[in-house]
Amino acid sequence: MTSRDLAQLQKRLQQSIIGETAFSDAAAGTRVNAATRTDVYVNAYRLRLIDALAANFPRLQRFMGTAAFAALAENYLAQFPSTSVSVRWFGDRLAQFLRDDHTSAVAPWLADLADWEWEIAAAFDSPDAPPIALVALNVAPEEWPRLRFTLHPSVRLLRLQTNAVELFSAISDDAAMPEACMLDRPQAYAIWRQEFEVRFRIQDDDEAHTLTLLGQDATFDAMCGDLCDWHEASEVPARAASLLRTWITDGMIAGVTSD
Amino acid sequence: MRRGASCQQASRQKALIAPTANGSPLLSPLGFGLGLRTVHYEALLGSHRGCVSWLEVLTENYLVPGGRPLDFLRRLGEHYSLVLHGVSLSIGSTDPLNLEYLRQVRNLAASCEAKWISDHLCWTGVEGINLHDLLPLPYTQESLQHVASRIRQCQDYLGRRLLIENVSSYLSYAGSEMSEWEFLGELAKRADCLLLLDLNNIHVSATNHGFDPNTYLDALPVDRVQQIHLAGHTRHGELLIDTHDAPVAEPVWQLYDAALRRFGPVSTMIERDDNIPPLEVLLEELQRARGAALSLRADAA
Repeated sequence: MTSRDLAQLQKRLQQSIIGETAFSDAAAGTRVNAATRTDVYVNAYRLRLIDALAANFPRLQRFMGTAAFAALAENYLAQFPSTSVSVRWFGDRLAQFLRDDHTSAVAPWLADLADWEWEIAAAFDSPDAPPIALVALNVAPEEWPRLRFTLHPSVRLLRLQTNAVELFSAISDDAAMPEACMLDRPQAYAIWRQEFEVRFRIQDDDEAHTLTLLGQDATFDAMCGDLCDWHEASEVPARAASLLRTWITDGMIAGVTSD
Repeated sequence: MRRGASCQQASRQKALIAPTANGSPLLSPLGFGLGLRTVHYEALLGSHRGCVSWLEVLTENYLVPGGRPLDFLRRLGEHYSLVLHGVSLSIGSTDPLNLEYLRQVRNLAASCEAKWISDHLCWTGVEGINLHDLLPLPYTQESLQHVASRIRQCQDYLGRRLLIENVSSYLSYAGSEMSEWEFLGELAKRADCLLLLDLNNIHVSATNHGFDPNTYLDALPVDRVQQIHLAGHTRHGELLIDTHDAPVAEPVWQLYDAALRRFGPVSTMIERDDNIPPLEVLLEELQRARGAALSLRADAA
């Protein structure tokens, strides 16, 4: 057997496991035939990856029901086999998969729920960084326009079309399940981690916009400029200060610099 | 304080690849331990703190950027020696070695001051796919050379010897040229690595393939066995399946006695992956392992 033979052998067994095709390289065993032996790996593969996806999306599974979720997982697995070293990252494209799937037309909340559940988990084990305190804003007034802020690495900003967050919370709390529905208009949310606790909240449109802007390295001056789209110029400084105070108090800001 | 300790650890690790004064590549044994599972975090840090001397950490679960999992690991590291046990090295794969994975493992091992790092004699996928299963290799001269060379590359990168664990298997290959024990014993010498013997896996594979597990033990080099796993399994028709979800079975305890006689007081732990009972139950099971080692010592005296 050459190294090329070994590579080919591995490809053949992998193909048998993924595609459920026959594997002819197994030794004929006593008592148990080669096909039954190969089937142990074939069956274990499906069950293991369905379980892994369920572990990453437990609320989506509960919302859909075990059988429907397993069918979804099989379809997803067939299109996107895992390429990560850890099953922790299996399902990174599930929300998009659901959006691309024809079921999204009849149940668009499934993709939102997947998105939400994935991002909550991502915030849970995102990088650590000490948040800044309000005292960091004690700078000379002329420096304020040039201030730039670094969001805490756990911050995730989402805009959802459905009441997926309500569904998520109801499942988490074991409460009565509201009816899944489209929202009248898309709703912005922020997810972040404070110490080790994952938090989230609804954001007003001006807040969602400016927090996104700060995450893109914009200055405080630019933030104030954009707030004029929502507020009278005279109200902008107070609104900007209030937003910053809220973000800092909540632990969503990890750094501030002045040019 | 921790930083200083970490630097010393790194310099000691570098020296490990070289032969030690007494000629044995083995590291200092850690005694009796358990596989770390999240449901036991609180008990291990609270009511049962110090109940074992070491914990085996599932590497991939902690290859995350930050947050609570890594904080628990840091806190556990203050009370227990830690070793890393991986499932995704895919040392037997014909895909290129995943250097990014190795870099992450090296960083994790440094940050938690891991006493050693282990993974499995298997491959987990090719063409970039991870099947998340421990697939057996054909036991040929070719794969022996392939795996030995890759273990050496990993060891050079990590600056320390790896422990390689035998897996449970359900199929064998028509093209195999030697037994698993011949392969593993030769591999340890050629790669200059250490071995992690999973006695349940030996029992499962022995039953599934019809060999004598004692032949397996007797063939392995005594100076390479660094760690022992004890675990349970499930019968599925004619085959035993390595579920690691049940108490250690009686034949595996018998095998443990034989392993103790051959390899001496090797660091031993119970590995439960599913159907995980309260910590007390595992500690009681571990007590039996301690008893076996003690009675062997008494016999020797």
